[in-house]
Amino acid sequence: MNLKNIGLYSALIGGITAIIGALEVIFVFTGTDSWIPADLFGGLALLVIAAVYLSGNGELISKQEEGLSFALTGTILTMVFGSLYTLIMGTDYLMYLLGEADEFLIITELRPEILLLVATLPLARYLIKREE
Amino acid sequence: MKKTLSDMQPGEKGTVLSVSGDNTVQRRIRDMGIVRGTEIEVVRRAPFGDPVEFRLKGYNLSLRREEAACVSVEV
Amino acid sequence: MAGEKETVIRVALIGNPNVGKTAIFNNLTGSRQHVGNWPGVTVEKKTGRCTHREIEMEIVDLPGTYSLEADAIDERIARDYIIDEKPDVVVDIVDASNIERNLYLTLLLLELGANVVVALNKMDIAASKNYEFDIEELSLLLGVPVIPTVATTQSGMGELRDAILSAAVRREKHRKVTIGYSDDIEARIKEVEELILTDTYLANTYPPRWLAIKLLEKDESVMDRISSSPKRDQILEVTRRVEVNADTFAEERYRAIDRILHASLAGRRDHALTTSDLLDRVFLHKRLGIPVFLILMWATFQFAFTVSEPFMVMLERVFGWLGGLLGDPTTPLISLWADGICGGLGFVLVFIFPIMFLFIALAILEDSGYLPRAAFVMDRLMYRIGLHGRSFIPMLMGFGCNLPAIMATRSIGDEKDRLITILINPLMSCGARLPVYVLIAGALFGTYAGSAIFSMYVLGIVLAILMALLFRRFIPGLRGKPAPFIMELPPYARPAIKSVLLYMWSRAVVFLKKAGTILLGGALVLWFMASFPWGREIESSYAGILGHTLEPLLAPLGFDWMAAIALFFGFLAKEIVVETFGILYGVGGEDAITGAVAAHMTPVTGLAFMAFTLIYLPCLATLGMVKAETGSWKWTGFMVLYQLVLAYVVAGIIVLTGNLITGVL
Repeated sequence: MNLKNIGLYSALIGGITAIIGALEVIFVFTGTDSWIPADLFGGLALLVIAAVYLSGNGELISKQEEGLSFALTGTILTMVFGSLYTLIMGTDYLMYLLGEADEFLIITELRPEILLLVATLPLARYLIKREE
Repeated sequence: MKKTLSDMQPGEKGTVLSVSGDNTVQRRIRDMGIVRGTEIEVVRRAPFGDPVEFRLKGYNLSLRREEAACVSVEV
Repeated sequence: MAGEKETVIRVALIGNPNVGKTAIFNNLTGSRQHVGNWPGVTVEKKTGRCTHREIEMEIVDLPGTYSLEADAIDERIARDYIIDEKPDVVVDIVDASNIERNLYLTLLLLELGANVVVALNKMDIAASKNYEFDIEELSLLLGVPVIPTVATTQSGMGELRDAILSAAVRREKHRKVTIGYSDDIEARIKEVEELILTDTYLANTYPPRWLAIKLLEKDESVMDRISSSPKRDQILEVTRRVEVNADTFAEERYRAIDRILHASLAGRRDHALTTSDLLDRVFLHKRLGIPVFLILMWATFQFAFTVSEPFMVMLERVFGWLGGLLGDPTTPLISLWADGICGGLGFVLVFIFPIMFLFIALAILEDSGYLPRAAFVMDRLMYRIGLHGRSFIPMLMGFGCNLPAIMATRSIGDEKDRLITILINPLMSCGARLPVYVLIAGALFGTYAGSAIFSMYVLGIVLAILMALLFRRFIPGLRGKPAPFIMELPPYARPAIKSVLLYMWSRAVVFLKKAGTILLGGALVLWFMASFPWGREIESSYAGILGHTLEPLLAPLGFDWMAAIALFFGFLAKEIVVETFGILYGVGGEDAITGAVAAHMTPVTGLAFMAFTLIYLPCLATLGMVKAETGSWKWTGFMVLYQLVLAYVVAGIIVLTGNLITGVL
């Protein structure tokens, strides 16, 4: 991948992150019940991550190396949140086994953040390779 | 031109002339390698404008503007 | 100590912060470590042992330090250890990728006459910056062995151990090479040194050249050390006469470092765009820096307090099961086992999980290099309220649990900054207070319950800020300005799992020791007061008697003796307040307790009671940790006192204004 493609890919990820984040926040107020959870702080976190991705696009598309800052940090943040929600999925399952939670539904546990982590893997691979 | 470190803008470079201020601050600044003749560059300010990040002797250091005002530099 | 035959070689590790000193210490000692405190202070002291070629070494990890002057506590510990304890070998860990400033400490150690071995660490990072060292030349110029290492991959550890052994055998006190100053200054040093040599006590106690230099630098703590010497006036006369000071010496040392590096290091081409620079463009970004910090904190919070929850539940159940082994608590002895020991440990030990998870997260943040950045972006805000940028994370974590939050204040360097952060931390409303708010607000405020609960969090923050400002102004020992913000922003690094886990475990052990002693003891006292005289109702137990005694004092706030007892037991753990109300009102089940509260309290008293619960005392376990972390009964007592008074005053104000308003309405 060259810098321009990185820019396009991170714009795509950033865009999707922004939409999901906005929906998570909106659903808190509308009370919508959907696959995307209503989660104020979780949604705001996604909006921040999206802002990080999108801030680097200008530089990347004009092929400035500095733009990698934003793709790199965005990827790290997506990784952090994707891993966190994966851990929370495990936590919720344990609580369910312990009888502290009434139900355990994979559909509510498989948060969009986890899927974003998967989507960001190609970016992560490129950045790790570059580092070495 | 003579300035203090706190007056310098991000991207500006200078050479340290002297360090003033109370004993502890003066000593701790000195221990971090800010002595006469040290070349120092302002990297950026923190989001609220303070503290400030500097680059010297191949590493990055942050000072509050209050402390940076103790260092005079030739720009 | 000279001449004494020692079978164990005593080694001290020293170095700047962020040089990988802990990693080298872990590599050398493996699991043979002991963590304690330096005498009289709360700075952590780590010692460990290792056997190499059948020779036993005892390794002390000195605090990370940039220099060896005595006015900062870490530096004084390091310096006094080397001067007074005279370790056989001092291993100076130098960051090869940041060598210029790192060598400053090396020169100070050489001046001190220490038997130095230099571990030139982070050679991999130096290589990635295209640094090419001439190790032999460097070793020749410094006059001490230089061993290249990469602590993260254990490379160079065998050579380092060998070098320590041979240095210990050589015990070379007077090296042939000294780092020379300019002729003019050398002449002054000589003059003072000769005076020192005429006083045999001074000459035998301190390295004379070092003492001469320190006196010329006009180092106050060293001036004290010669105050009883008969030559004192003569020496001071010379040092006063000459026009050199500490600045002169520092400049000359850096000039010497320049010369050394010029001859021994090639390929220095600083400031290509590194990954660290790339990351800092976002993490320290003008607009993104703070939001990114906040979401990382939110993730840390979730990790520490949500992911640890099932483990807490499991441990509670284990203790519940253990407590039930002897049957119903019908005799004092069974009750001691079930309610006292198992119940007490159950309430105290569960903290181990949030501690472990929080310190895994904090270790990752620290080892990755992010923590100083967090302090950098938050410092302005914290400085306004008289605190340091490093105070923010412990404050925030207080909303989860005050106990690990108080343990997290260790990262604050300055003692005053740290004390204030500890003292106000319990005002951050922790998770265990929430059930109390939910009960009372749910019973009394109906649809406004959420707002009432939220107002407690805001109240806590406001009080914390007020107290911080007040302490800074009026309390002796805390008065003054926050410590200066002179902080290195080290390059980012990938955290190593082993060091993260070791760090977490060292924190967990600190807590476990307290839990087994002071905390269990406190829990047993509370159990005794609730259960004796044996066989009576809780109302006529010692705790009940105490509640009745306190009632007149709490009556102006509208609290009855039952509220007093509930608060008393809330000291064991805040959430017990809910349970105690259930027992006292003689009802079971959430709805019944809610109904009983509604019958016993007015909204105004209820709000006052919530505020009192927030402020009056942290739980027993937290208070025990305050004692451990401040190392002082005085400050622990001060905290208890100020919080009780503050709780009373705030609850009083709520009742007064509340009654006024309801009276008008």
